[in-house]
Amino acid sequence: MPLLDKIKEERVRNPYLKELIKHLKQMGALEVDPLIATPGTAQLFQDKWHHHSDHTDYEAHNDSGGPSHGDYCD
Amino acid sequence: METAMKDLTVVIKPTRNCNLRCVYCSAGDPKARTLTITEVGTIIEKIVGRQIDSYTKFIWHGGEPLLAGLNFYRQVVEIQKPLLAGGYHIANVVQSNGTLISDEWAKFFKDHGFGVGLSIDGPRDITNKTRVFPNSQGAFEAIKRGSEILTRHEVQHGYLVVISRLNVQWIEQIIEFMHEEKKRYKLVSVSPIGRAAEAYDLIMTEGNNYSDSQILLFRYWLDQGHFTDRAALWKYIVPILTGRPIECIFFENCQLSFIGVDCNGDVYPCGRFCGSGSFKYGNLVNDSWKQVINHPSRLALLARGKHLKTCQSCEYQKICNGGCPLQGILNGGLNKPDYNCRQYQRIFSEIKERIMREI
Repeated sequence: MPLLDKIKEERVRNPYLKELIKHLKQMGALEVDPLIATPGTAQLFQDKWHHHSDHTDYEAHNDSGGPSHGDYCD
Repeated sequence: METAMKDLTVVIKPTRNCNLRCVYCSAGDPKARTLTITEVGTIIEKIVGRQIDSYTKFIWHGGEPLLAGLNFYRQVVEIQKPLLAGGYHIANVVQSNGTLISDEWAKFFKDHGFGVGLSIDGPRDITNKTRVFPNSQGAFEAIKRGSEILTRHEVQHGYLVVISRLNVQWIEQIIEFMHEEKKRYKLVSVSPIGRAAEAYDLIMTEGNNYSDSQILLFRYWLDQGHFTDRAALWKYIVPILTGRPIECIFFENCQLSFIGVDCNGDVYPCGRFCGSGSFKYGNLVNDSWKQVINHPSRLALLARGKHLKTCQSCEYQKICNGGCPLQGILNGGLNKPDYNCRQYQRIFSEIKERIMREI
């Protein structure tokens, strides 16, 4: 069983970790699988996460960027 | 064997030419050709048309992709329009050094929804040691000017920092700089590929330098809510929580969702492999999509996981999968784990330990 499923959100002391766990659980409840390892769904995860945050953002990078692509640079 | 690629990221290099001469660059080549618009049209149609309802993200990379010219990208958008109307999903991202960005470029990016990543290595004095023009003048001011133009036009953009021996000792200053900039950013480890391999001793980090930088970043986030490299941290944190990787270097089969296309149409496993002849899958100007994806080199990479015997006893095997195939090859062969293996183990262990203390 993934660690996420064992964690009771209300018991998480750290606010930043709590926020991330809450978000991951919410996405699971919506039956959105943000974690399947493909660029499209990883991007969905990125987009939804940032929809709930105030941060200026760019896409994922996995390279250049974040989870949906690798560690690229020019 | 599963070979379908419904969701695909394409790292495409319209040119390898660049107007900078960064000290660790793997790809710059002033004599390099540029893809013609006819060639790029053929490539886009073959890639996007591989499967109905496909999702394709083009990362326009280089060299410096803006050297292809604004008219090139205007035509790219025109090529993509009928495909979008036909039910295919397409996204575009440019990974640029930022020095050529003008109001005209920014307006184009805004109008057509392009994401932009700018390469910058930290505050002025640090960036100017690594990212330089051919006359050795630092590029910091020009990069910042590009960023300011993008901001003025409300183009979302982030920063990409290459961590090398030349800047890793100033990691805290780099993090503080990014905090002030309020930009999303990534710290990536320099790769000893292409021209960069010639500068190996100058640029490669040693010992635990890379994992130290990621762990420091994790602590900044967890302890202070520091506006930080969350995207890059997620690749370590989310798999610990969910048991599943979310970034290409940890995918069980990155070749189900990535390819690289060089400036002559040659196809490789990803942008990092471009120019590595033994891993060339074919050429998308001349060959069919089917020929490319059924190339024996791709099938060998898809089967890599079966041969990673040294990973079988690792606690993090299911969320790491031996790391990046290229970095495994650089570590001795397809059956070897990524050369950052120990670094990843340190990072995963630190994150897991801290999470367990918080729950």
